[in-house]
Amino acid sequence: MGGRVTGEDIDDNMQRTTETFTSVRPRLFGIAYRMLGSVSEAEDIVQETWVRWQGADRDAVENAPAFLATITTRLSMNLAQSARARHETYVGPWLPDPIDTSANPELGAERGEALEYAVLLLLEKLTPAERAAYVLREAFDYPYPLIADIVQSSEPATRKLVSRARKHLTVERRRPAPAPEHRRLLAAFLTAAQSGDVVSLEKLFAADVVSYSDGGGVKLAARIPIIGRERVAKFIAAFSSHFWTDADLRWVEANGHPAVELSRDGVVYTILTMTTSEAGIDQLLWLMNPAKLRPMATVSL
Amino acid sequence: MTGHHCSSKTTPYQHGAVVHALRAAAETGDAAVISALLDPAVEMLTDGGGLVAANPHGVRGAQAVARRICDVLDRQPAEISVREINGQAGLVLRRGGSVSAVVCVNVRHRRVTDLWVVLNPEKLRHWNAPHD
Repeated sequence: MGGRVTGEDIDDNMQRTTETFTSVRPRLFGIAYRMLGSVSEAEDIVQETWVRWQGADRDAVENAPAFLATITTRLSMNLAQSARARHETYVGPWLPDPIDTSANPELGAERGEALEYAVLLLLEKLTPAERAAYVLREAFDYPYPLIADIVQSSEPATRKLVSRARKHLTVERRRPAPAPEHRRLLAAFLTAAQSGDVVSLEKLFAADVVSYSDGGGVKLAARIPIIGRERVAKFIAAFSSHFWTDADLRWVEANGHPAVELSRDGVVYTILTMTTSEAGIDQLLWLMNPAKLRPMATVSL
Repeated sequence: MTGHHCSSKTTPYQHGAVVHALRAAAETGDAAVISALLDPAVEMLTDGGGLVAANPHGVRGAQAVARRICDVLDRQPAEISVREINGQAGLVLRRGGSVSAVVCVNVRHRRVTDLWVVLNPEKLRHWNAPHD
């Protein structure tokens, strides 16, 4: 008996592995869908979680549902980071995939929180870590220490992520700035950024402005989003000199809004887009991988 | 803080009532009837994903949005039904038996403040997949 592994044991083991996964599958889909707003991406992530679960040292896993939620959440955070760049270059407005919740009792079965369409649209504006922390807390009621572990942060920092996300979602949705104002903000930003003028930059930013990079470039080294008026202003001012030196600026259109393409010696190295509202500049996005981008039309001024 | 949760002031019942009224209004094909349900600053965003023609900048204002809804339904008549979408009442448009559009709305003070129209067939694929 002892030590011999029979075919029956293997079947048993496989069955338990599958059962554990199947029981949390709706929750895994629920996490990924809320974080990404995409059914197909969420399904891919659930599938990838299954593959990793099969390959994991399962005997060493104490809490299988938490382990699986961790894999799914981290995969979703990674994908959310690159999805932001894709959404910015999407043709026209990007909206989440709507889900028929009357036909998907799976999704609503646990908790309906953070599923409303308006909320998904707001979640999309948060950083991946904020989104993850908010979804795990609000939709699935995970304890903070576990969330901290999943998003690889400290517990106080995780509480901050959730409260920042909540604040974002409770403040009334800002109206996007009209096109002329958007263009004015972008032009004023370019002037202030090139001269490294921190004070002027701060005046253009919303208090909770976020600067993102798609991580394609090394120089900006800011895969992690920078948040807050003062910090973003200082960050932009700090790379004012070398980043803009000899840059040719060309106005282009990205996602229906004016954007700016930066090139040097005829080589495009960055496309800068932003979202704006009556509060000022809400988000800056630095696309450092222009080779991957769709060709953009030049805007006639 | 004067801000409030984007939907906390609207109960599911009120939300549902406005959506049902919007469906009925859309069927009249009368822009004035539709616009009566819309917030003056209503915004309609359409996701066509580059596969279906859609205004990339959205449409704003009650009259413009109401007119657009009438124009579209006039050119491409659809069977409209109310359905629970992402946990709230929304509209599903069907043409020739398959789902051609899904519309989510935000309601505030009993008026529609946002319409989010998904036309991108890739995003509607799971609406038209056969149920197994």
